[in-house]
Amino acid sequence: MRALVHAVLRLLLRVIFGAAPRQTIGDWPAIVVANHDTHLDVFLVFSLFPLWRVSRVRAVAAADYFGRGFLGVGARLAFNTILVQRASGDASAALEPVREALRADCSLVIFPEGTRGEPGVLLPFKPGIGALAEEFPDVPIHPVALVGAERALPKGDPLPVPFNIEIRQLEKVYGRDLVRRHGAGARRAMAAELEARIREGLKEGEPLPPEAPAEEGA
Amino acid sequence: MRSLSHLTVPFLLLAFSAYELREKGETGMLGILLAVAGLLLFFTAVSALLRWKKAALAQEVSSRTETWWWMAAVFMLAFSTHRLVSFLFLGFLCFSALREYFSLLPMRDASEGQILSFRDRPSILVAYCMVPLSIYVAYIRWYELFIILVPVYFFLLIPILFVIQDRTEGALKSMGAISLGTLFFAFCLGHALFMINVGPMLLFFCFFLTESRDVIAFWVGKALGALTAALPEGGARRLLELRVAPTVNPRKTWAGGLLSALAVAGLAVAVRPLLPPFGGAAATREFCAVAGFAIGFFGLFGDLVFGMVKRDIGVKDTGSLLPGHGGVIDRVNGLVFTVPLTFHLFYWRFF
Repeated sequence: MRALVHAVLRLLLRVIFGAAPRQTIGDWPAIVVANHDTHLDVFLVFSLFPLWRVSRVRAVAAADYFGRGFLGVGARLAFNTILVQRASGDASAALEPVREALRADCSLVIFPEGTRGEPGVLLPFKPGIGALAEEFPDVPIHPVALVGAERALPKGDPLPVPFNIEIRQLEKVYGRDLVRRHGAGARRAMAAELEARIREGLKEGEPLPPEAPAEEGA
Repeated sequence: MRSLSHLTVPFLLLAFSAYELREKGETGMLGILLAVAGLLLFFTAVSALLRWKKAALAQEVSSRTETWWWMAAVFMLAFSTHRLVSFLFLGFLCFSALREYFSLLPMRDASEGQILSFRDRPSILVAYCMVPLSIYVAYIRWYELFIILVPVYFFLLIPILFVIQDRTEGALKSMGAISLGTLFFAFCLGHALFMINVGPMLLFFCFFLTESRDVIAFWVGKALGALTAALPEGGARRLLELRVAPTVNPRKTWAGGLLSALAVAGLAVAVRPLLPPFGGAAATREFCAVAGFAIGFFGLFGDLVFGMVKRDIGVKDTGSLLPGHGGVIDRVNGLVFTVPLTFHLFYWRFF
């Protein structure tokens, strides 16, 4: 049932925003981290997983925003949300349901900025993703840069408008490599590395060639 | 392999059209379809071979072949099924081109002096709405409204929307960019929608010649380049080297453009037997030659104009992002100029 809903959503994303991933993620389980500008992001990131596995992918969401009401029920039905307490003080305890899901062989979708923020501005990543990388060193982390989504549905504007959206899949990272590079316990540094990778991915435009394209002679 | 999987959809569509045509007993059209499919399979094989040999032209040939597959699929569908299918296909083409145009333009807050600002989003949505509206108006054959919908009513609606938004900063720039894109892609390219009413064969005539012009221009340019290099320094050489717009595209010369246009005129005369009689009168050979020359000549500017637009955006903000790998505009840029031209030439002559 959920797969069917996602199939329709993917078709819509493709037709309205021209957004389609180059290839689906083959790893299982996997953690996908992405920049977060709009409510469209979670739809885009879910399209990276094969349809038959979509019901075992879970999105990490803020309990204060997605914990109640129509939005909360919708998010739980479509994206199987894991609710975490933002700014709860005890970061480790807040992550417990997320660990639970990974142990239960689910894949995760995480937006480590923690919130959508201003359009086109990448906020500093929360250290929680670093903690997960350290505790699950063999689960691949796929950084994804979502380009153009901030125009389609910016925060605070309820009107969706079609613009081209690109889902840029960046090179995957393993927690064990992050630990080796930054040392055990350096959660912030690990989160910062993922943030830097996505920042690079966002910047990496296709600059105009210095000369006119060489395709035609007339 | 990836290029082949891209062709599944047009291939299936062609197969479906062939089935429909066979059911209806239209053997003549079925023959044309099979001939076209055979030709396309040949070119697909050539492009696969080029790709395998890593030839310089591989990308060019394969992207053109893909375009042709789609063109053939859409036309055959239009012949074999309901005409609404062609309206939806061409409408989606206009929409994709328009979306790519708006996505290319840098967008920031108005105060930062970019072309678009976030407050333009409602107007851009209205611009997109012109596509389905044009589809409807063209579908019910309401010519008088179709021809003024975007250039008059949409054009006037945008400033009204801006005033209601109570904005001043960057308004002129934004209005200009939005109106320009909508005129290019929803109106000029959108003429293809009304052309379906005139006859799918005319649409085929225009698309075929515009696409052929690109190929012809490529070879004419090569030949002229070789010829110029062989000529001694002097007046003749300078004449051949006279460029249309050296800053926009240093490779386009007047000589190349005019020669390609002449070749396209010849091709137009060659495909004339395919054109059905319009309103009882068949298009004469001279008329086809004029139409072909016009398509050849103005097709050249499609490329140059959008090269200019892209360069303008690139110069202002070199770090600007181009989301997606659409390239829709690159494929339709000639059509933006040739479709309205062909449409009006035929409409004026025969209706």
